[in-house]
Amino acid sequence: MTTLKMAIRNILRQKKRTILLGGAIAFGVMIITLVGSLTSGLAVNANRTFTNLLGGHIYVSGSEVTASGREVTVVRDVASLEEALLSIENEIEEIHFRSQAGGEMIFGSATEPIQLSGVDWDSETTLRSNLDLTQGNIADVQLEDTIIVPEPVLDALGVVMGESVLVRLTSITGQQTVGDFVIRGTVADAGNFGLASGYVSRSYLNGIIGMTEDQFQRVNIGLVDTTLVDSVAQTLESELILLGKLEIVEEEETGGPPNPAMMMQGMGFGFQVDEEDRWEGTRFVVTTINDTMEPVLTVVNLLDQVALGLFVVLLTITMVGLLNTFRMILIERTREIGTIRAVGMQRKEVRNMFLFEALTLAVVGAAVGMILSIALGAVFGAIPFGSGNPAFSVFLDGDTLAFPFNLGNVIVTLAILTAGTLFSAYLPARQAARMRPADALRTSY
Amino acid sequence: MKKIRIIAAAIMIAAIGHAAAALTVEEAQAVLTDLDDVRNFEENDFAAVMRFTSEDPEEGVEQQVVQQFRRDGEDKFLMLIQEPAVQLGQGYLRIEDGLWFYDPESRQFTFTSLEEQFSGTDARNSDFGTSNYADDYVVTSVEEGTLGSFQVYILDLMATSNEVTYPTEKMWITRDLYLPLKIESYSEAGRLLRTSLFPSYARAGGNYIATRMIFVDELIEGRRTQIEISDISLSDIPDTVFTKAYVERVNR
Repeated sequence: MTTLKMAIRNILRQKKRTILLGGAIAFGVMIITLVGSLTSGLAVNANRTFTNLLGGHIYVSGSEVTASGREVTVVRDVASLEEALLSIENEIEEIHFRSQAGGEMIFGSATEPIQLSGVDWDSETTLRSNLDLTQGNIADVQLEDTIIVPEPVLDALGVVMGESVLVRLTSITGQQTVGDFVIRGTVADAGNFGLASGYVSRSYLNGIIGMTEDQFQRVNIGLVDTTLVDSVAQTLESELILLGKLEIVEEEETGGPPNPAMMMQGMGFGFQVDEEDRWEGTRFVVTTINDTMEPVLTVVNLLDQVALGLFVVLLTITMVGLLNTFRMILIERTREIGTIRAVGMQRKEVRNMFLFEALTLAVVGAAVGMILSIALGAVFGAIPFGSGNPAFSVFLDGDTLAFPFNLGNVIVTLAILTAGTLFSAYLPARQAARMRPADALRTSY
Repeated sequence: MKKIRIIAAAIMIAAIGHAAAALTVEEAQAVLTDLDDVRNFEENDFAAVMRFTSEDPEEGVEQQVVQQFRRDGEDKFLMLIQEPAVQLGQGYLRIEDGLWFYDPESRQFTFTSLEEQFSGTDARNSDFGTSNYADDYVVTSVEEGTLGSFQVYILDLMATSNEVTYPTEKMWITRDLYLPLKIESYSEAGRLLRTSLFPSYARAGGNYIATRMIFVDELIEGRRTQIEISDISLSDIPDTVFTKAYVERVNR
């Protein structure tokens, strides 16, 4: 206890030096904590955006080959799918059957690309309650030709609520077709990388793209535990493999047929399948939100690594500064060390005094750094970014960034910082502890 | 001499009479085969330069120059974009295993389909390949009429499968040579999607080729694409032209 008190007293004796050292530590901790929070927030927001946008965590799409060799995306073998889904039924929170089509929305001479999600409004109660309409009434989705579009689409086309628009589409077999819709609701821009995403009635969309009312192209599965996405998807895949219904997706060849992600977006129909690659019945492709988010997570991880690199550089500089400072302290306090050793303080206590000093600096510096990062996070988190860049809006919570407190990051940062600080102070501390009292008292600089 | 004139006049009247006779639906169906035959270059390769002028009320006027190579006998074609410079080297290659789009920037071929728009224009990729009306459509009705100063048959066509680009079409063809002058393409629900006009043809070997094509997008006011064809050649085209390797290196 005496050692700790002496350590704190020593810290307070040299206020300027303490502030500089502690400030350097605080700055490093602030940067790593702030960036860590930022990247956590980006990942969380991107995950939520994609979950909302894609309507679940695991997606199963089905396709079959027509007599002429054309691949069409439609699930007709519902029995096999239901059998496979039994293997993961305990993990499923919600399940939705959707159709998907990409097209061009037209109003007069203005056009806008759009991705349509055909949803069964009666069963998709979660979507109905989560769909935060900026204009319109959710009850209007019962009208079959209703389309809900992102706000920017209205501006781009120059339409207002209640107006009729055309959407040029391609049927599942590749025929040109067009649908009439009435805009009865708008949502904030979902930020689907610049491609607007609209919601329409599944049965109505099916009628336009050449499917029967109750058919669907994709099953969206929401999981109870989102950390189990990959393992649950693997179970489902294994079950479909056993049933002989899963398409084994090879590494994508240069310019090959559309990849599963494209198929998932409803862009995989209409392509010719080589004669030797054709199959009977429905084949399924299982993809997950993690597949979709992979490029996003790569960016986030890169940012994390850059921040970690910066932290290591800052930490190294700080630790070298700390080492030099403690060597200076050792010189300054040589006679003092001799005195306290002469009055009975043990070597271990002298060493601990130095280490406590370093530890106190690290803990106080880290605490200040974290408080600063939380404060800055709150400030940056209040800045509205608007919808200038649709790709960036994937990372936003509304129109602001989120800076969630990441306990794991904080613990890791503290551990690295503490270890680094103790390591830097250890050599001067050991040197101090090894001093013979008589030699120390004799020393003069 | 007088006798010869009389015979010639009789033959002419018979020919005109034959051409002008009303067609039954069954006869009109056979006409589709003739229409394909007259437009497809089964015996020769075909090459031409196509100048696209696309008008869009939002984006203005854009022009493209495309070198076309066709080998209808093997259902192959290659469309190489020459202008604008920013698209130089892009190509659409139709070979046995499908239709490929090549982008020299990424140096990759990607799958595309005949139903897709050609390079953002109002033409479809299927407009440039082999004509398959006889297989793709059945005639549901036929009537006589005029289109401008031309005597035409007006055919209502219904697709034989749901994989044909347009489910129904209405076609105005000349009564003598069965050349399409105008085609209206409709959706399954009967909405007019596109009008195609072929106001001029040139004879090339034993076939005819539309030297001017106009595709009017009926959904978007003011959007249309006009294609003018020149530098027609029926010379043999080396087999290597219809390969990915050629497309990759031709404008490198």
